[in-house]
Amino acid sequence: MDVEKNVSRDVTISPPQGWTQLELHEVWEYRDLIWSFAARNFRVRYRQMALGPLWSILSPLIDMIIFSTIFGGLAKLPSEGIPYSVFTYTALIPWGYFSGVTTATAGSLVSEMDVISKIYFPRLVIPLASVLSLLFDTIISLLILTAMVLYYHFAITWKVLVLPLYLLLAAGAGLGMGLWLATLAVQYRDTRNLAGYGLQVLKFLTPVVYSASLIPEKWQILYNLNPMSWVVAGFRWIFLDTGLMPDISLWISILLVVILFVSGVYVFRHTERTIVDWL
Amino acid sequence: MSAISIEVDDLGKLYRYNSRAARSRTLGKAILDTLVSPFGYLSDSLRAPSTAGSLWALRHVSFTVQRAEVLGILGQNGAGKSTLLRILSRITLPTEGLARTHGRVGSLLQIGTGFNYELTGRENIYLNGTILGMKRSEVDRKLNAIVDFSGVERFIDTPIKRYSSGMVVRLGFSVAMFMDPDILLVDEVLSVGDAAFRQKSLEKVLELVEGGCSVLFVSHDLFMIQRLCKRSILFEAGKLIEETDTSSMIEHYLSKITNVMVAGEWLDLSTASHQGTGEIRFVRMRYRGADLKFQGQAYPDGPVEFLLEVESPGTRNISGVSVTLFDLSGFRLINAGSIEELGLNRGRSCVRISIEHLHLKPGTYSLALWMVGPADVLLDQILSAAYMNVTATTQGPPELNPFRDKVTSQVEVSVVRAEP
Repeated sequence: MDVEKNVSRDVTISPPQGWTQLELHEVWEYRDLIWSFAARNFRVRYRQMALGPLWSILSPLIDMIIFSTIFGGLAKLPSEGIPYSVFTYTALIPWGYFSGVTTATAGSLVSEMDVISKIYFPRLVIPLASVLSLLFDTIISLLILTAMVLYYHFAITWKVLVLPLYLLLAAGAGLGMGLWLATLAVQYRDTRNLAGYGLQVLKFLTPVVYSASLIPEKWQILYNLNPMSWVVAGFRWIFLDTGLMPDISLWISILLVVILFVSGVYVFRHTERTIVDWL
Repeated sequence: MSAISIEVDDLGKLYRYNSRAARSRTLGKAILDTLVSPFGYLSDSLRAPSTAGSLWALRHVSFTVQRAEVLGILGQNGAGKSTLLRILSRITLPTEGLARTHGRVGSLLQIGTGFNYELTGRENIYLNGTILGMKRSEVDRKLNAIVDFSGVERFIDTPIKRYSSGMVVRLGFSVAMFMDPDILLVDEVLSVGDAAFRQKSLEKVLELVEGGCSVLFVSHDLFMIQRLCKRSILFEAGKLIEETDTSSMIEHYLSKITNVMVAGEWLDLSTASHQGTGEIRFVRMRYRGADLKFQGQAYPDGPVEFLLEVESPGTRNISGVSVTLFDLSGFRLINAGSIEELGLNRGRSCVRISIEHLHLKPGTYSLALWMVGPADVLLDQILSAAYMNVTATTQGPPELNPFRDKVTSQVEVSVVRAEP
């Protein structure tokens, strides 16, 4: 007997009425599809490239070289006594994950239009698959980071255990922002450009290429509301033993991410029901 | 499991196309609009949905589908068939009314949804299978059966961009056939692939039906509909206008189709879909029962003659011309014509193809025309040129002798002067 037949069920299809239930159990039922999409993203991204999966390591590495040359070498930005290259690379990894998730999520409904217009599945599956496939890239980059950290004689300590929580925070922030943007992108086509600029601004509002200690004291509280500041600080704290100890504003920014994420899921689930009519 | 698979109650879908365009399409403009009239959106959403600039793609539609029933859906383009399937497969929601589905719904609005051409056949089976709602473990178990059915086992680890289009379709279809749905929603897709595979897919669908699966079947292909569905519903301009058994439905539907030939009357072929170089073209055609019994109707085992008027830019030879008759399940029954050289004059000529005994039962048949020049250059081909009826004689349908070969039935082809 088919065990999987338990998906067979009665479905009532009726007009959209106000705000829906989230029905996240349905997303859970489609967990295998999340995996399929993630595997596809990963395979397709690299199969056609001469360097293959190396690209996932190369892009933060190239960023690191550029930033080290310009900000570390020419502008001589302080990096808290830590070699600039490893200082910025530590931040580029979570930043890359966050911006990757945001961009992929924001474009998810439009880019998978072909499939969306032909078959039903919870659309939330698409961004979740991006979270997964980008996580894979991030893990490879983290291996490089580990090598660099050891090369510069920093120790890998128990703090690494906190790493998943910071990755989760980055993914949550990226998903939350991306889901809102995806919803807007359905109605307003210029959302994509806006998102691109927004991410660039946010990148410089986050201590990726510089040290958070450059920010004047009176702005620190506001500055630290940016969840990505905390993620970057957390990464530096884990790998380089510098940066901020968590304080009250970490909890505030976690709360912000949760609000952003939950509201993002709501508007996304709301839009997905009739998305096909809009595009 | 309940005895009813699908219940549709007063379903309606309103599409707006004007108000949408009138509203801001860019974020910049939306912000500007909000600044200019901050409460504009309120008046927009408080106003009752107006019907100006909108279209009911579907309205007041109600029907039920029993378990293990195959229901055909007929209608011209834009009649609402596809909208109905989209609602039932939950791709979009209705504007009013209600639909209930009981059991696992497999929707086949497209073959191989989500196929990625960079991925191998095997990887695409998993991708497509999970998109269709299967678990990976389920695909694991069915993998061999799927691969067998598709007939592409040799290339299963090759990226499908190297496949022929036929292979891609077969692979996609095979995955869909193994998802074991309780309800299958099919849009057009059964008419893909080569004849042998089509036959195989059809048998597989019937096997599913025998196992209790209900099928909602949309197609322009009357052959398929008649073969699969006992009962059909007919849509026109978003409304369900008829619900009855398929054969009378098809009769009704055909009566609305313009290319059903009337015995003895010319059918204009200028609007038909032509293939080939077009140097020499079919212009119009007609048929008549050659012995003028039954007002010139074609009847079983009677003689029939086809007149194909062709237009040639000069004196030309053609090296082959034929009329092919298909039954409503797409089966090729008769191919009458010649592959001998025939000379045509400049302007219009008439090719006469006469069949001494038309070994066909009463019913509706579809006709295709074909013409090649020297060196087998395809001059013109019309795959669905016309429909014709073979009428029952008063003696009732004769017992057709199955051993009398179609080929031995005398066929004569000649060029005659074109009629004015």
